[in-house]
Amino acid sequence: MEPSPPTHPQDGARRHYRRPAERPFTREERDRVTLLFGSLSVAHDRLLTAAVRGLGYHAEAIPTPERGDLQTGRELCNNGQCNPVYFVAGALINHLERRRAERNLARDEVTDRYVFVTPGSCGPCRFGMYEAQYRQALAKAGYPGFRVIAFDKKGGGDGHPDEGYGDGLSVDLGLYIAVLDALFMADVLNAVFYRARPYATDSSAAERTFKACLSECERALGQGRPHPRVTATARLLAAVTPLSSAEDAARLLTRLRDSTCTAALSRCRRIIEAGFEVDYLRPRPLVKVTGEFWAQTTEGDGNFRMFEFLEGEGAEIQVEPVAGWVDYMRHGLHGQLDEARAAEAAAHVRTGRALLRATTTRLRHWLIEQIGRLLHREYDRMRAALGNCAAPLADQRTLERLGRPYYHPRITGGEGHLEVAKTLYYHRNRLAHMTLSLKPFGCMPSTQSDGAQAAVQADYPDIRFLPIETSGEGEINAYSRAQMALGEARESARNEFQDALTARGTDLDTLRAYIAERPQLRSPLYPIPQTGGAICRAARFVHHLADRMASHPDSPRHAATEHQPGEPRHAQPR
Amino acid sequence: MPSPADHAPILVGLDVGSTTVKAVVIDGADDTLLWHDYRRHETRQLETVRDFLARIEAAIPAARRENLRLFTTGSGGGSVARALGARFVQEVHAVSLAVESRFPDVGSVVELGGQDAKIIVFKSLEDGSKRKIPAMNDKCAGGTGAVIDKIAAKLAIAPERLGDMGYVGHTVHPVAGKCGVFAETDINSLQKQGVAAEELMASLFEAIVQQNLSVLTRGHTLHPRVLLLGGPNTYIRGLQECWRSHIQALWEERGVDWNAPLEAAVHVPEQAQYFAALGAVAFGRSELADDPDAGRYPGPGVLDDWLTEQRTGGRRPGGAPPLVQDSAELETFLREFQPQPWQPARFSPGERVTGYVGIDAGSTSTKGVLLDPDGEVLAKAYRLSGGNPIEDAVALLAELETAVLRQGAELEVLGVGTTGYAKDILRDVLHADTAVVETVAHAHACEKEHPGTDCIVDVGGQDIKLMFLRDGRVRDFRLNTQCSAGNGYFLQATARAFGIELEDYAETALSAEAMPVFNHGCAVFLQSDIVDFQRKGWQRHEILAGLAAVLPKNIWLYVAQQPNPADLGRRFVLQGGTQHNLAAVKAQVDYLRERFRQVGAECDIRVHRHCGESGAIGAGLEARRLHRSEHRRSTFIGFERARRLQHHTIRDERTRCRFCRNLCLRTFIDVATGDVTEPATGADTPPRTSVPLAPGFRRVIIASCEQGEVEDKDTMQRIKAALDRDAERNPNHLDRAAREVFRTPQVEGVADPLPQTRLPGPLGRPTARRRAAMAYRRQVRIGIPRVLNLYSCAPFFLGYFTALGVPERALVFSDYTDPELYRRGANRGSIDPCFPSKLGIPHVHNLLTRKHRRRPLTHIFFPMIKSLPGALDGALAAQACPTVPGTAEATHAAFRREGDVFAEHGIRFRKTLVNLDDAALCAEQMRADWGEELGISARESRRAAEQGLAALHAFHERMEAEQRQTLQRLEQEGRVGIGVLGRPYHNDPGINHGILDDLQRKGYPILWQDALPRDPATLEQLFGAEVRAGAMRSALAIDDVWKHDFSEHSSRKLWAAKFIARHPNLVAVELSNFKCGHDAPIYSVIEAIIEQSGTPYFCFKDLDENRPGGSIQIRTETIDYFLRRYQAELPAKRSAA
Repeated sequence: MEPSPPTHPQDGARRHYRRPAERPFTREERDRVTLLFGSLSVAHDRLLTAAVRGLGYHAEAIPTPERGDLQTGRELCNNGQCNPVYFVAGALINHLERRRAERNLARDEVTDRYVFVTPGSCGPCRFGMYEAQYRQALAKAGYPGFRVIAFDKKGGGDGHPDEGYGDGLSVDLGLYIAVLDALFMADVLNAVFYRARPYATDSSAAERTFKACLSECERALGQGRPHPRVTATARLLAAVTPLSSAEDAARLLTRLRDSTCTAALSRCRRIIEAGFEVDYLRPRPLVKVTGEFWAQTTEGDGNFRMFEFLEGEGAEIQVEPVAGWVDYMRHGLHGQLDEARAAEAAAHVRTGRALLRATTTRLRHWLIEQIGRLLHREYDRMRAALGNCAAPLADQRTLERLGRPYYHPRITGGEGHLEVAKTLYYHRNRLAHMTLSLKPFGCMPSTQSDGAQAAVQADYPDIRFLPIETSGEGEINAYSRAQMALGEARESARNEFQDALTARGTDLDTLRAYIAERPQLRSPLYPIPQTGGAICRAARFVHHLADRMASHPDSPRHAATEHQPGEPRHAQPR
Repeated sequence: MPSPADHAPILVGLDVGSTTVKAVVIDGADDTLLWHDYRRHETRQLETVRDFLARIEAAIPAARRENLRLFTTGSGGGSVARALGARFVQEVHAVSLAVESRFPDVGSVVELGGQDAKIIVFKSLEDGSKRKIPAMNDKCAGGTGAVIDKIAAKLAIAPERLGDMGYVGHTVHPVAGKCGVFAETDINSLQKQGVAAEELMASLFEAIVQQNLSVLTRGHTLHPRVLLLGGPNTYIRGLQECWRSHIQALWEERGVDWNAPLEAAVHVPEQAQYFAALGAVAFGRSELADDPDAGRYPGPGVLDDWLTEQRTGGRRPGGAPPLVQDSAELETFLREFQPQPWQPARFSPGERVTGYVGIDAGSTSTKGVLLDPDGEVLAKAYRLSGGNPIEDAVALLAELETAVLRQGAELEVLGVGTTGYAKDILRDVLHADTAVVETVAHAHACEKEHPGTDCIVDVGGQDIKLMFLRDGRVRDFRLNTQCSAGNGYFLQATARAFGIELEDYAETALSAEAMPVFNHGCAVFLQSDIVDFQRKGWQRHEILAGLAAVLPKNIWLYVAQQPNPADLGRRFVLQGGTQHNLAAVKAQVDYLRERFRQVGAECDIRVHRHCGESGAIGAGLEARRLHRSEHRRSTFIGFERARRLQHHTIRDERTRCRFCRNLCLRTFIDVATGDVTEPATGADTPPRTSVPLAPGFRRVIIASCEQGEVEDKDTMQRIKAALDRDAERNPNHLDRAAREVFRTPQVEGVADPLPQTRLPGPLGRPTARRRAAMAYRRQVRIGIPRVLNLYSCAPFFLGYFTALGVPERALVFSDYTDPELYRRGANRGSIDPCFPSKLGIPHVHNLLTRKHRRRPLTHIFFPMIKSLPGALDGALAAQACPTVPGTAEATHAAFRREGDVFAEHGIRFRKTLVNLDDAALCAEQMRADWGEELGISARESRRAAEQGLAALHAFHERMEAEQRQTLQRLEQEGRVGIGVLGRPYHNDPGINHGILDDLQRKGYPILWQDALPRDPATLEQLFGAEVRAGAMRSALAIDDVWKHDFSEHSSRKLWAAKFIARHPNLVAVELSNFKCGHDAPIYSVIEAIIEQSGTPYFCFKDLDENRPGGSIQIRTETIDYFLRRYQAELPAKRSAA
């Protein structure tokens, strides 16, 4: 809000505070206004920017927030915020200040030329109010009237329906498709590189390869999409589904046939295969990172650079795909429908009407399922294009079933029941040695979820779960606690590795000699099946190599699949 | 010829902690301990390591030195390992390695370090193996050795005496253990009340052990055998006694057998302070098995090189420019801000000097001034607090008197004023003429010296205060809520830790050529940053500069929450003892000027000439004002009697007040000045006292309420009757609501008649089952925790169940929150959410251990209220804060951690998720959870939910009607009432810490935001014109001020703020808890709504489990001062509105 001088009643009639009017971003301004994004992982930010540029906008990602940004944010936002707001508001304002200095602009000009686009939500935690904090911080920093568009799941941007944020940003299916493509591509790229990086024999080559892949994907997303043709099928689809127009239906149909993303990821696969080699015989503890959405995603000081730290400590990290969160939001719609149905049942409407409503509800459930299928299909296509190394998206119904006894799925906010569910999912499926849950200091949903984990740990005493609050300060203690948990995980990984060698009656020299003659076993994208009951990738690799050596060493059936058919896939429709 | 043993490695285990370095040297050949030492590094961590290594080298025969293998652990061990090529092991891992090899039967380990605390619980699994559950403090040093160190230093307790201080047999006083800063505040206050050092330390041990048990165990039971490790546990007897006492109590409560003498079951082993170092050696052994070269010691040169490199280049990238760039800048600054020398006044022999005395009994020091009739300072006296404010004041008075008498002059005192923490004690003991709240005293002193000031920045020992003035009077103020982040004492303590005298702070800090950047905020975090920066190679003068630089950020961003000081005016006066420190002044001046420069303006900054004594001057000026304008004769006892003053302080079980169930400890100060004519405060010998009063003494009682200030029941009852009369005139509606909301409402019975079983055999079974279930409604006894949104929604649940035929007496709430209830139940908690949420566990514990014991409960019901009946028009949603429903899950989990406690008690735990904004849905939700057991049909549930919602509505209507009456009376009488902006749980007396009672006792009715009248006439009066003008959609909408109106209680708070801003007889007091995620985003909006209308606004933010009594008192007294002025102008206001 804009500060105003205090008045005194005696000065005359009371002047009452009003929220400053918001300035819309109009279509006419598109050519001269840059949309600013931030701040997920580096890959997400870059690909999102490229995708939005591909739609014809000027777009720019704000840099990954750092500690200096936190200082700025804390100066300009209210006390008691959670640190994603401080970091992002600070990063945004510092970015604007740098642009202002570089381009010799007045603050008014900066206000005119940039718009910040951010995810939004209708509650229930602080996240739903971030937008107001951004506006406040911008005003205090000398940018009153700076436009912030909260791009929320309703597509209405924010809050009250009469709040117009203008027609400058077309919130249509085209935008959603571009955003989801960028997010999914970044997810699979991140998954592959976090998987391979700890085993890279030349880490700088791995970094170069990562950058090359990002550039490849940026090019693909930035070149725009095939123009959708409105066909009779598209019209029919628009008529029978909630899609708002035939154009949107055409966009969807075109996208389903489009191979822009998968082709780019296939090219990335080749870049990776040529870019660096790995040694999967190094036993590394597998750490699943969960927690609050932003803290588990950012790669900067917002989570104490925890991924970098853990990798430095010799861990392999499994980062959480943003696609999982998108799918969680979709899945939450089932819960809303269930509540509506329950309320109707209690209201005792007439039988005919009840039947009609029940049918409508069932149809809606079916539609939500189909959207889920589409999301999973696209994610799986991208995974396949990149060598099937990224893990598939966990099935939301399975997660809900796992989480429900400990955290009610309708307690929304933050990650809801997901934190509990993912801890169980990764433990029960032997996918990680430990779960590290990252959350901003004072995160309301995540704190309660940690409380609920007490019961999880009572039921599964061998789970290793470590919650870490990231306040921006005290990273030494956070590192120390991470090392503490990692010590045990590392020991488990080593033991699994030694057990595998012993069980298969082999040794490292023999295996290394075998690998030396087969370059594909040194490929970062080589799939290692989940064999031998081990979690540790190196131990699984020992089992796999032993199997392979025992039978026909290079037969096609040993071109392994990393993710076994028994693993949870997308759920069956209701 | 060398023996094989000569080739054996010599393992060095080096534990580099935040305050100490510990090392053990073990011969790999035969495991003998060759060398060991434990030393405080006095913040010279690396230098101490280097010294240790040199001494280890010297202690080892030259021929075997190359066998040295180095393994490090501890918070500083990683960087030492990197520098020396040693191998590092994380300290909890190290401790557990040492423990497991030496004590295979260990059940749990508690290791207290300098800034960290670790607990390892070894849990036996079904397969016979053990699982380690380690826990470590997150980032806060509360509950660690650092707090003990800090307090011991404050109380001037030598290390050897500290080690011998006990716990058993000492009276324990409430001290906050959660945070070192809060603990210090509490200790400070107790010390001023005369509590002995032994009791203070015993109380601190209690606080630390409680903190660790309630937070760090994460709800696990410490099973025997418990090992107590680390320096503090090893060296301090009282800490060991305290652990034993608490662990024993816990074992008894949870039925744990320990089968051994307590000393053995909670055991301090030999070398307990070396376990991490020993663990590093154990780790080293396994490393050497893989790699015989692991951790080879490269000699001391490597560490020297590294130290040099760190000091020069390594640290610069993260640094900030220094406080002064060059000597020219320094000269300019000093010319402007170096204080002019001040000389005490000269008197002629025989001259009769008249004047006023002001005494400021502050947190860390006591200051006194003698003012002449014009208010100019004649003499000053200063004394570091010796712990007893009376003795300090008497000594000061003597010093002031001597300043006159030694020149042969005579002194006549026309008036005495006191201020500061101990102002009331001194007023009573010395019969001073006035006791002035600090904020007002500072304003008086500033106005005298710098008329026209807009803002006073007072940085004292414990507090930061900002006073915003208009026409020389306080128009608003900000105080640090409870935390004294970045205060003067912290700067002083840090300088002392670095071995630098406070007088040399500025010179040292101003000599830095660069400085590290601290995050503003909590002082404990600053402490962690200091250790971190040292590790990165920053030197002490640079760190002191960095600390001075963070001070203005703490003032303006943390305390004042005002990033644009230019909004406050242009003249700023710096006061308080910390302003003697020119490094702190430089940082503040730079900060303010930079902020003004950013908005294209200039400011006028001045340092009060007597900055350290401005409080005392203000108190003296107030005495002068009373003497002059009200022609009062001074009641001061005089220097002579003050000199002869004898007093003794009693604070023990005998002084405990028994007039109410709070049973507070009081302080009796018996005072005698040897003058038989001295008036007594009450009867000389109280009629019934447990502490006889010696002849010639009178008694001053320091109590937390008026009733406690007397000893005999009759007087107390007279006082109480007067208080009751006041309460009737000035009702505290929050308190009323807190009681009324839990009264069973009158509802219609809506239960179906009992079904008759007609069909035989299996066909009749469903009906029979339902009949039995319905009959069970009369047998249940349901315990409900009295927490969170139940303070507004309880009538729904009471109405729902009683409408279905559950007897009224079968619905049992836990007790109201009090410190004892919290203390008893908190140690099952595993998370650290806001205090209201944290109360979930203690309240369920209360139900289990009190209510269930009295008469068995069948159920404990912790409803998860997800949404509430919306009170406003057009809001996006009416959701509860996500912490509220989540609390039930976390509470349930806490009692399942080590077996299902509810099942063990034969109780069923229910946590129904309810959406109270949808009658049909919540009916269905209740039926789904309770239907089968209580035989509730869908239709019945719907009817019962309607009854419940009606009861809820009726409760609010009733409360509104009562508040409407109060408002009408205020309007008629032209008085002011306080509208409280808070959440429903702020009605809980254990959460609002009695702040509202304090304000009510000062003569202000207290109104609850959720029951402000919404009748058409009131709405029309306040909002009608604006609605008609189109400025807002409706009188009950808030989207004109806030667009994210999805959180019902935030929305109600905003609407109430709008209401108060428009009502001429209301002012706003906002309550908010630490970590409240729904309040934080609307802080500035609430403030803007209230302040823009010109309505006074005060806030108590960051409320938490401890009650910061001193801070609350200053605030309530300042509010009272302010509101009296405001009320006096009210008639004019009414017409203006």
